[in-house]
Amino acid sequence: MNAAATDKDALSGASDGPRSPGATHRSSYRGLIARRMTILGAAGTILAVACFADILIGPAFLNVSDVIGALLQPDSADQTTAAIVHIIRLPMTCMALLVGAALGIAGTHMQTILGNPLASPYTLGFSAAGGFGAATAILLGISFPLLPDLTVPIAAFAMAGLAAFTVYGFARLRGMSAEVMVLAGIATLFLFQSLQSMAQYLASPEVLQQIVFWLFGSMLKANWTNVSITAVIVLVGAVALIPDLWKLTALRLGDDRATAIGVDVRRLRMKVFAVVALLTAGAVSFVGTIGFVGLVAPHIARMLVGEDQRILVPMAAVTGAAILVGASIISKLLSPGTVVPIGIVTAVIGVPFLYSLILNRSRRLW
Amino acid sequence: MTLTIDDLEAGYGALRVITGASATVPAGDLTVLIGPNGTGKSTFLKALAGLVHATGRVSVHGIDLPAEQRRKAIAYMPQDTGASSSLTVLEVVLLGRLRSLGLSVPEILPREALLLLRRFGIEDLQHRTLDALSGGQRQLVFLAQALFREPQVLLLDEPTAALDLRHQLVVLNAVREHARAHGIVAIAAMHDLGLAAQFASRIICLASGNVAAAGTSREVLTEERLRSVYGVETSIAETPTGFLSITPLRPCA
Repeated sequence: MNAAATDKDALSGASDGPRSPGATHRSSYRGLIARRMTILGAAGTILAVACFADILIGPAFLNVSDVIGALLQPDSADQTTAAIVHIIRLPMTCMALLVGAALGIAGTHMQTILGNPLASPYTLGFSAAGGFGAATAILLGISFPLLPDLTVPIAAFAMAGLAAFTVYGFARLRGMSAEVMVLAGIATLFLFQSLQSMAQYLASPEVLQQIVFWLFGSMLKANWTNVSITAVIVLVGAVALIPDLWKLTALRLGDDRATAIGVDVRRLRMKVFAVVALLTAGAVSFVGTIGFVGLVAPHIARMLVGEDQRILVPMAAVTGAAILVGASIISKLLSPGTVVPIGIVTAVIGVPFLYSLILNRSRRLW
Repeated sequence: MTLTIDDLEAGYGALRVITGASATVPAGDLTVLIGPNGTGKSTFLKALAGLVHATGRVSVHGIDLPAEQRRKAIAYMPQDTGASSSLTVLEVVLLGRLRSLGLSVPEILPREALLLLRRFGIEDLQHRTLDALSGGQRQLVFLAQALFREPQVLLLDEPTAALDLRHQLVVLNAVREHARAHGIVAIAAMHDLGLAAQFASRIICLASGNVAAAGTSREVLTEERLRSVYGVETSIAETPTGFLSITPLRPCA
């Protein structure tokens, strides 16, 4: 409401606003929650359909009936078809689902604890560090004897963890304030981006190609082993903050007000920071750097279901997953017979939807 | 019921802002805390609420309350009204009972929150988002949130700052009426001495981190005290309506 509104309006709320006062008067809290849950349910249904479509589509041009047959009765399906569906497509779809959910959740928490709409899981440099870890492992040709396939993901995870500890150390020294976290995070981001560029500069053309492909972000690296590991990480990250969802909601009122109503802001930030670091490192390690999702999924979710983190966090997970699974579909359709790295096309699926929400004037952006 | 403050010291790190303040605040009416900028009004209130490190005794009903208990029993409303969020008004008020909120919200809570909003005449705003409200409406919402905690002691840091005349009266009337109806201790830090004289049954004057004077408005608001505490020459007169009118004249030489 603008300052020129009448006093009567100011007290009664009978002025122009995003919702009509008459409608709000009739609404109940229970009705509001039910509406938000319906939106969450609808988004979940869209995600399920997108997942199914993602499994149906691929460069092998399998028939829909063959894919469904391989899904429902793998034993009686053609061996090649069953292998493509169960060893290649299902893990890719599951990985897109999990990584999208991880980035959506991490992005929401990051924007909440930093009080910044431009924050994303990559703001504090975890992703750049993961990229440097992977690039170094590829450049040096390191291979762990017992886990050769997990060498690059482990290197990426370890370096992302190192970045997290660096930022955490600085932030802890200065009371875990959002400003210090952002500054230390951005410094860490630039440091690891430079180191990453250095690794690329030193690499031979063949190794450089491998590094660049890893950095693009691609679901082609998915298999059941890394899907299982990512699932555990996402589950831990999603569950760890359930007891704190109302506290995170309170944090949207600012540090002082959250503290005044009983939130230990410093402790909450430390906990959320650890969870975001885990989710981001987990997401980046197996599929590479996938931008945009962690920044935009929280905004789309917030515009659809509001700030109550009990619904916002699952909605951001579903939105992030839907964007990434949608991007996976597009990455297969762009160039028939090949799969374009998903990191290149994530914005294509999310931007039009975000534009439409921005243009919808009845929704608050932040 | 009274709030008794005895030898309160508080600050940030090595910096001592409140230096041995003592006062007694009766329940059932509004007490106003006055003092120049930087004298420690906000720190004093935060120390009472258990939100900054403090030493000394704070007791309610004669029972000492350590900081941990004060954080539960005392509601503190910060000065800033610039919180920008798309939380709805009802959600903001519900957050006042943070400890009662879980994955599901007990059905009684939204009903009680709505009754409070109705009392302030802002029930229609329940599903309006916070960032779509005026400063006055926000102040009422945060006041409703503080009262929703059902505190024994209510502390308000400059609740009328940046409000127009009408909203200043609405907010202070609401606080005073609530304090009288529920018999709680209510303290508001304010700069407007005229409003303080009009609404406060008792005034506490802080200077250099300590209590310079406490008593009724006529006892505390004297030309001599305002000269010594604020460094300002004033003219104080009684209006036909029986309130004090304080006119600042010039800074002391």
